Amino acid sequence: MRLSVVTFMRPEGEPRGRSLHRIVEYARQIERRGFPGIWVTDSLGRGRPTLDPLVVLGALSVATPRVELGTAVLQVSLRHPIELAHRVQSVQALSGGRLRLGVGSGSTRADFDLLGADYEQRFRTLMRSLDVMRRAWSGEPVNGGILSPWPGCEGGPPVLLGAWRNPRWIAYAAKQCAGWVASGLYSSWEDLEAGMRLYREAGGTNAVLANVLVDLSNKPEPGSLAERATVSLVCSPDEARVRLKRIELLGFDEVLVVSPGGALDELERVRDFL
Amino acid sequence: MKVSVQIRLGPTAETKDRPVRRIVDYARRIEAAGFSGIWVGDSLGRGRPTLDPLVALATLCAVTERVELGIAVLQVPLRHPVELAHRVQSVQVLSGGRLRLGVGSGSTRADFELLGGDYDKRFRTFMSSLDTMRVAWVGHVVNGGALSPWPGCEGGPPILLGAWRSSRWITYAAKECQGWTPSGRYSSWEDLEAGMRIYRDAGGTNAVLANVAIDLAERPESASLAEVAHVSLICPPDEARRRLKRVEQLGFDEVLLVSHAGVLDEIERARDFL
Repeated sequence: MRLSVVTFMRPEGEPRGRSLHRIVEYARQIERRGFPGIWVTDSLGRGRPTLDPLVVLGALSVATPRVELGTAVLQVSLRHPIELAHRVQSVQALSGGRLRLGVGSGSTRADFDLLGADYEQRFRTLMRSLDVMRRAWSGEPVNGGILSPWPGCEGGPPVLLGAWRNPRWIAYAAKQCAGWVASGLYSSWEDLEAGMRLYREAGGTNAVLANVLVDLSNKPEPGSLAERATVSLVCSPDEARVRLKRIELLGFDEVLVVSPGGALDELERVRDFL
Repeated sequence: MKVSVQIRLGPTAETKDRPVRRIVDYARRIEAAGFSGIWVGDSLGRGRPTLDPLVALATLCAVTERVELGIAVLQVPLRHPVELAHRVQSVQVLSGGRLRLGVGSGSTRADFELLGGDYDKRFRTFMSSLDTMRVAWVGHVVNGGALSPWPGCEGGPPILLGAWRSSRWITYAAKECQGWTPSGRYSSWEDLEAGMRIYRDAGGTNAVLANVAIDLAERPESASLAEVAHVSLICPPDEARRRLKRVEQLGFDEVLLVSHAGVLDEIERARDFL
């Protein structure tokens, strides 16, 4: 099982104007330490400053030469599908094909409320948007025009579908996408087990468990994500080893870990458990 | 008069796999040569592959230290204003305050048709979107939520308004924005003269002439552009000197030169004309 690193793009108390230096330095360390990928998340209306994931990956495309660059997951239903397809293609081109596009319907109402988007229709919008984006990436007519594919980017990047345990979506991930992305923040162990069975039965070959929080000191801040996460490595090292093995035994091909404090030493230690 | 370099974000045959290499090398040379800024354009439905300007600027943020990074101009009505505000803020963060945001209503129907945007309402959409973006950048409520400003980015980046000779828009640029950005491609000398009078009368202090194509060797591939571009330096050096002086005498504070062949030497030579 591969182990990659997720980074939350938030202010971390760096001096003003120095955010890029902090982000780039962190990304370079991730690459130097041999992690295969760097993944970013997507949120914008939840009461804290964030960065747009595709903009960030545009910067990381040049800051790192080798690692895979992923989104876990891009909330497609919040955006205009063709305009989004153009931006995705831009990152695909600039990264030299290293983009791994995790996509999802979104699940946080505040993001939809901020943009005036339709939360209730988000699943239907996702399906329709994915279809439009794939056509756009292939240079087929959409609306009244054509998005010209960048040479080498025809068809778009590998798309991984974020889904919990809905059989229809997991089957879609297996048959129509390059991967399935489950989330340690929201899926229970039972969800993961049930989802994996559906995914394998439908022929899926790339199961990624995203957003697995790591805190081996087991001192999550009260009320924090780390405390609320359903499947996490917020626990003692011995317990973390057991849980990570369990994730591997479930059959995941890749796990995306995140350290709330950014401690890469701890993530390396977790990697050594495997 | 400051001279900056506008770069084209299209693919070239020899760098099919890694467009980033050519763009990065060019950007580094521009900065090393002491130019004030690097600017990019914005198009997506015109039958040739392009990169999203905000994603591309994020890439440039990571490979330059000092130059201003600008867009001439971002077609605001094509996008969702709050989602766009978030992306703009993201580039503002990564640039460490170097972003200069040229904005415009758009003028090419093909871009609107690709996205299903309303071309005929573009001016109205532009004005209401600018209002929305400014509200979002200060963290006030828009739609049913608020965008959280990143520390140091409250209020958004400097905005330059792209306008030809509409006195209403040029006055708006002078009074409400940090600059006015007409285009050498689309504005006649008479337009520029008339526009400058309006801009200065309204108290404007930062006039930037964008999209001035340069080709001192008058390469055959520039011939069609020379025909349609109203103000260009596609001409012999002596004539280019005269034209550039004329731009300066009109009162422009900055000119953005673009070599479609990517020949930076010619832009350096033009700078020496001043």
